[in-house]
Amino acid sequence: MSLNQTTDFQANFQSCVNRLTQQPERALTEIFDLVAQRLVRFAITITGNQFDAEDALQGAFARIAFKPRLLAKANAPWPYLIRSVRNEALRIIQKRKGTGLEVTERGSGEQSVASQIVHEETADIVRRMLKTLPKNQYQVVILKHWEELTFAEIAEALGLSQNTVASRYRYAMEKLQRSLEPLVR
Amino acid sequence: MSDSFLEIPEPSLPEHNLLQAAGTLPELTSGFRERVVLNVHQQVRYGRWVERAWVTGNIVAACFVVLLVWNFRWTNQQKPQPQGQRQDTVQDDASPTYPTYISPGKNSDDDAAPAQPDAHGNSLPQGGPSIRREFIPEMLELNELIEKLQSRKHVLCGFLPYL
Repeated sequence: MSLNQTTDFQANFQSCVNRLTQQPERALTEIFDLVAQRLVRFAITITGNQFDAEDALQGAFARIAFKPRLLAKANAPWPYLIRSVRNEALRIIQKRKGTGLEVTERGSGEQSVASQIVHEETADIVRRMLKTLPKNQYQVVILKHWEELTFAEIAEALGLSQNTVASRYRYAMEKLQRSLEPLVR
Repeated sequence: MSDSFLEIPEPSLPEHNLLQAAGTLPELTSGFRERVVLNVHQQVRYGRWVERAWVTGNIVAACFVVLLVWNFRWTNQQKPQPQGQRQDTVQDDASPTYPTYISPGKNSDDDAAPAQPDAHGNSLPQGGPSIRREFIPEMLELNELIEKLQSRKHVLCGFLPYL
């Protein structure tokens, strides 16, 4: 994603958030259209499959629709929304563990995602390598590279300190650089 | 995007480009958008209803408390006095005679008065404490006011704070 695209995205997102208190239905629909795919992509990193990721997104939007002011008054709305989705995804995982319906780590979701990108072999390899990372490092790398958040925003989204986020990112990148070296050559 | 104070380089290395290229967006399942939008609209309406109910409940509770306090106050004012007097009536026509308060404190009048000699003709030491003090009429009014408030406090079963 280029810098212009990121700026446009943030400007559009902020304008939608500004209209949340006046027209919550319309603003939330526009926010959904703007961020749904990105948030599902992020939620997949937690739930391991797309269905649960979509449920997490739906749950997060339902909570925000119940009290739109929470998002409207947030200091950083985009990390706040990411955090809401993350909390919903973690709740779904907890529920799944409680009912004994735990899906194997990155099972059907991985295949469904991978089947959509059959023609992108390199990207597929990179994604597989990413998934070999520990989950906490994986999330930081995803938020850093795919969502292009700063460390401060990632720290707010994940509820961690900036130093923890930075050290996780550093460890993850050291591993990835070793494993991605053949692809780079 | 850079975090200069943490000295993390910007993602400009080839590995970083590979990572960014791998971040394709997933296709949402069919009907997911409609489901979420419908749910969002329902939740917005439900949230509005809950907020209005909460505000209405608060207003009703406040009105109830005001009514309760007013009712107790009115009942207290209507209570007849044994001597046929109203409790709130201020007796302005007859100026009350206040009893003189005797205190062991020093009075300023004593400073001007010369020291009286004792039976042997020796003068008594000066500067001792006086036993007379003028009564302040405002104090009686304040005491009456405090008594009135305390009687209301008893009527209100201790709802008012102690003064």
